[in-house]
Amino acid sequence: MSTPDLFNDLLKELGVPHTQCFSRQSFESMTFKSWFGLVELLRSYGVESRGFSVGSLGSMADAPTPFLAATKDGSIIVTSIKDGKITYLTQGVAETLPADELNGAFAGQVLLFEKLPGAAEPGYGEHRRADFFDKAKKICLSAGAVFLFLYLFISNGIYRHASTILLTLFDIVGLYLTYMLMQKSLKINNPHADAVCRVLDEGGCDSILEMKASSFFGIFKWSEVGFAYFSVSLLCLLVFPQWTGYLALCNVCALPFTFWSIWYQKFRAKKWCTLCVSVQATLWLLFFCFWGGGFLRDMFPLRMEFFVLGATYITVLLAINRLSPLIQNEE
Amino acid sequence: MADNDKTMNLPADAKPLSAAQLNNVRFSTKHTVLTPETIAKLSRQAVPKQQV
Repeated sequence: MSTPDLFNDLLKELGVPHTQCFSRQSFESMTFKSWFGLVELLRSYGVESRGFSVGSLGSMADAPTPFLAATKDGSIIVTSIKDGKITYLTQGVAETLPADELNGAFAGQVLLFEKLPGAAEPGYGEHRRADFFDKAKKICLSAGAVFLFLYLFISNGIYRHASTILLTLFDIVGLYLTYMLMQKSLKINNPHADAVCRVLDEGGCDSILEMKASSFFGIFKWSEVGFAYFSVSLLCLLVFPQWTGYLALCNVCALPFTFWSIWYQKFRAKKWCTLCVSVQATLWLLFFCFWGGGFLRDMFPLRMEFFVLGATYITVLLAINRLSPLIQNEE
Repeated sequence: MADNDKTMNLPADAKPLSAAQLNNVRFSTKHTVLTPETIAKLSRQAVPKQQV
């Protein structure tokens, strides 16, 4: 997911041709993660910068925009100052405030820019081509996944019963929730995950994920376990719907965990992780679908296929656990 | 660019920042969206600015 970043926003405001991916990587890999580093980086793009200390932002009304202004909690891109009101960009969001109100948080430093003729991202043409092919690959991957999903959903008759439609839906929901949990545990920024986490307890998700209880004896993160569970369950439902009884059995085995999770958050951590609570709720919704669809009757007898399913859960979990550090490093 | 300071229409109290002063303005890793509410909160916490 493309998250907003100050450098891309600034280049867009300056009208400097650039590609999102390369510019973000350049910004994140600056040696000096400060205005000094930014000045050097912008120079390579053909943009000269000068920093000044000023008494108030309101006094900058006649200065050329955009310019950066330092606040106590980060930099903002000032895009216009008109009639005593300042319009600025913060994490991709445009806000307008009276200059007097903004002055209270202003740290006193501004960075002004001069775009030189021919200013552009170094290697812009080559990066644009790479960007195009990257987007094309993502579109083909998504299209392939949707096609395969629809083919299996229809050809295996999943659409014929309300219970199997709901099972598919809740598995997808659970997959997305555990995906966001994994991103949070890998410290990957996702505004959607932050928005969901704010519902029950601001900062609750981050607090819970930092506790020892967020992992199984430090071996696997519960977010990885959840992601493996929902991904294998969804695939099994689509490819082998005749094994739905065994999926029901695995779901029943997972239910005690939901009690432990709620108990821990309420009585031990005394903080609520909205994403975690949503995953527990999804597990229960799946249980009611299995129950309503009569699949609990098909849990026994256990055949070889049940153990194959179990081995698949474990194998996928091990693979996710192996790949997680690589994904974290790449981000 | 130094010759163009006057064309930048800067206020009279504007003073250029040195390389060290530029390096003191760090980028936050918190991705905080500085909404009007956050700005108001920061204003209440703000200490008097020192002119560099």
